[in-house]
This record gives sequence, C-alpha cells and structure tokens, in this order.
Amino acid sequence: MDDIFESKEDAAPPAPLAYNEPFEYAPVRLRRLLTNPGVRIELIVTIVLFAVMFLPHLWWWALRWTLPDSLQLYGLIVIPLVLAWMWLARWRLVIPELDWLNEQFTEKSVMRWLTEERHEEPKRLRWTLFLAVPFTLLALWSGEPMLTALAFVGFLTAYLGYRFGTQLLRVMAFPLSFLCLMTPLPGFLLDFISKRITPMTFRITTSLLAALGLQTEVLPEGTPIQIFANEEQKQLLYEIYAGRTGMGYPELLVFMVGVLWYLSLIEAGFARKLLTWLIGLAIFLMLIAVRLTIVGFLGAKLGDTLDGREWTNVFALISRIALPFLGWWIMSFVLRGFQCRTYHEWVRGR
Amino acid sequence: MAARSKMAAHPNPMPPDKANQSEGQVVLTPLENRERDHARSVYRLYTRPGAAPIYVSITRAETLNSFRAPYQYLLDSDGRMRENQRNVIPRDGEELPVHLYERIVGHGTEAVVLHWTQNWGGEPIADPLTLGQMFDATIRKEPVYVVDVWSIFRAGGGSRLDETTWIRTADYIDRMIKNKKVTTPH
Repeated sequence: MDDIFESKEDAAPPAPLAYNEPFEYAPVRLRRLLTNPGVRIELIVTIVLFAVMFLPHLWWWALRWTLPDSLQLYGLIVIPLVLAWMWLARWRLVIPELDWLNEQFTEKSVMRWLTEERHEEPKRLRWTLFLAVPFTLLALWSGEPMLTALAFVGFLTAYLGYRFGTQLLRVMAFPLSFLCLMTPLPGFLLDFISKRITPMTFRITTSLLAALGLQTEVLPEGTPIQIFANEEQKQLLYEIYAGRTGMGYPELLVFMVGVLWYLSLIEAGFARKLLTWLIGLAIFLMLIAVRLTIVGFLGAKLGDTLDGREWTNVFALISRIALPFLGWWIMSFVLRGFQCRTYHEWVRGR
Repeated sequence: MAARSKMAAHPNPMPPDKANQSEGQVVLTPLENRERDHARSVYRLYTRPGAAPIYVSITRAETLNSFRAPYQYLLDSDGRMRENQRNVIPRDGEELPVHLYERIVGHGTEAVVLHWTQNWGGEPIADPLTLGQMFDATIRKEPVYVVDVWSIFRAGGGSRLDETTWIRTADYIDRMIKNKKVTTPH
C-alpha cells in the first residue's frame, strides 16, 4: 500500500511548479489517491471492518443518547459534525505532512517536495495498536455501550496512527478527541450530575419568580417547583417538574458542543476561543433560567384553568426546542468578532 | 456474540406463581426499562382485593445501566426519592440488612420498593452501585440479578400496602437466587 504515492512523473525530469500553494495542489493529490485501486480497496476493507465491528453497537449508543431527558442528546450530532469537519478540512487532511515540511523548508521547496511526491515512510505508531486491539476485543465481548464507544475511538486512532503515522494523527487530533464526546456514560453518573445541577437552576428560577411577586416552594426531593396563588391559602396554580417541563440541559449541551465544533474551525488563540465558549455557556444558562421563569409566570397566570395549564405546557415544550436556536442566534453576534466570512476562509487559514 | 450465548445459557429465575394468597400474573414491563438498556427481565403482578398491587421484577444485569437507582426507572421521568425515606432492612426474622428500602414518588404516584442486586448463588447486596458486581455482570458476564419488589399507591387511592406479602415475596426471591433455583417448585 505504500507505493500509492509513486507515479510515473517520478521518473520524468523536474517540471516547473504548477501550483503556487499546498491547498491548490491538495485536490490533485486527493484525486490521485481516490483513483488508485489499492487505496480504494483499502478504504472499502476498512469501512467494512469498522461497520462489522461497531455498527451493531451504534443502536445501543443512540438508545442512550436519546433516553428521555438524557444529558447526552448531543451524542446524535457528534458523528455528523466530525464528518463535516473532515469535509471542511479535507485539503489539510490530504497533506498531513504540511506542518513538518513548513518547519524544514522554504515555501518553494515545500511545493517542489509535494508536487514531486518525495514521500517518506510515515512514522507508524505501534503501541497504540497493541493497546487498542485487546481493549476493543474486551469491549466487544462486554457489549457495554460506554466501552464499545471508547473502543471505536481508540481503534480508529490506533488504525490511523499505524497506517498513516503521527503527522495525520496531529491533524486529526480535534475530530478524534471530539468523537470521545459520543461515549455514552452510564446512567448512574448522569443521574448524579442531574441531581446536583437541578437544584441550582431551581434556586435561580424561584428567585426570579419571587422577584415577579409569585409565591413558590421547592419540595424537599428537589422537584417540582410549586407556584401558589397566595402564601396563606396555598392554592396550587402550577408545578414545574424537572422531567416533565424539561430543564433544558440536553439542549444546552447540544448548543455547547455545536459552539465547540464551530470554534475548532476558526483561526484564533486558545484563550480567545475558551472565553467565547464560556460566554456561550453563560448566555445559555441565562436562557434556561429565563425560560423556566416565563413558564412559571404563565403557569401562575393561566394555571387556574385546565386550558391555561395545557397552553403553559405547550409553551414549555416549544420554548425548549427553540432554546438551542435562540442561543445560536445570540451567539452569532459574539462569533462575528472573529470576522470570518466563509467556511473556506477559516479552513484555509488553519 | 459469545457473551450473548453465555448469558442466554442461564435463564432468569422466575418469581413465584402465588405469594401469600395473592395471585400472580405475568405482566409486560410496567416500568421504564429503556432506562436500563432494555435488560432482560421477568415481571409479576400480585393482586388481592383491598390491598395495593405488588410488582416484582427480576432483571439480568447486562450493562452498567442495569445498576441505576430504582426511582429512575420504576415510575416516570420525575421519579425521585422522598427525603429521608431510604433505609437498609434485613430479611424477615433476621438481623443482617440486605435489602434497600426506598419510598419513591412520581407524577401523582407513590411507591415503596425493596431493591437489591445479587449474584447467582450469592448474598444480596443493598448498595445499587457495587464495583465487583458491575465487573461480574458486564465483563465476566456472570449472572447478576437486580431485583425490585414494589407497591404503587395512586394519589388519593384507598388501597393499603400488604406489608407481609411485600416483604416475604422479597425474601422468597432472594433465597431462590441464593439457592440457585430458577423456578418455583410446585
């Protein structure tokens, strides 16, 4: 398979450079790779191997991501986002040795090196394969979704490291790390996290509802928030349940994972990206508290009739679905600070 | 594949047909079994006039989600434990605490549950999160059972808990697994 980079041009006398920069040359290399029968066979064999090993487990991963109120709803978007990332960065992925070449040579020499395909054997990583193979076998034997998902990422990393070397792994560092996010965590761990963060959100919501002049009480179990007509009579108007009304955490995490992916494509310093991500988190937490407050307020005003309660429940559902879109719309104003105009620009700038 | 055939080779123990004069009925999953990755379970519902129905579930632990707190899957999306309503209790007439008692609540429903995990032929363990049992169930694929015996009260309902049947059924299933009996002798 290593002869895939050899071509008839190698024997020809040096030709004048046909490309001014690596990304002009990248499509040519990609085309050459994809038309090579050896590469095609390897690609098909690899895809079939991965499909046989991991496709049956995808259903179990998806089952956990889509559990009612699962914090890991974002798992659904991880694989599509990784594929999109790879498509957007495809020219960079085709020339994994670019960083190494830029360190070694001048711009012109880099171009000559690339167009003449003076390819060196990649530095293969063997130890990852030695670790990944037994772990994958153990995970597949176990069938535990958390282990099989980790095995998928581990085996993919090991395969890429062994087959294409460390240079490609360096370029693929983000998508491979991003893939780890899809690991379905065990329910007891997610339950533990939910149980800790729900009271905090409810505390903020009850404070906001109190500021609007409503009488509220959170039951000792942590849910629901009960909203009363007045303190003396304790006439219950509406209840905000963490599960039934929805806290908005799954939507928050979908949004935050989307922002993380988006920031990975942008040329900017780590501190600036981190700050932007934290701003996004703050915006969304604010939206969650405001949404629950509006639900509570509507429940208090309309909750004395059955129709009113139904309308409040409908609003709770619609506002929950709208959360990530609203968050993204607000976030777009923050992201404009990066002054990027097209995806193409961002990726080329990498 | 090999793991599945190893698990399939060991059938789930069956709850008794009758419990303290209460007739048992086979029921479809009355709970949110999706929360437990659709683990293989057998269910029984014991009813007697005037008494709250008693449910039994014996589940073969296969993945880590089998080891969740019962309020996460027995009632509804807002299932939760009543404050300070959790205890570990012994078998009837014994002193060693082996079953977890919880009073749990959902949307307009309330339930009392006895919950434990138990290796085939082993003693019950009340703690729902025991690393050894998780390892046995998910990696070694040894038979580990998660058992729930619970009774549901609707808000405003008049039925009372048949405590004797509830506790004795739990003890019976516990001994059945400990003594490695798959079915009830007739």
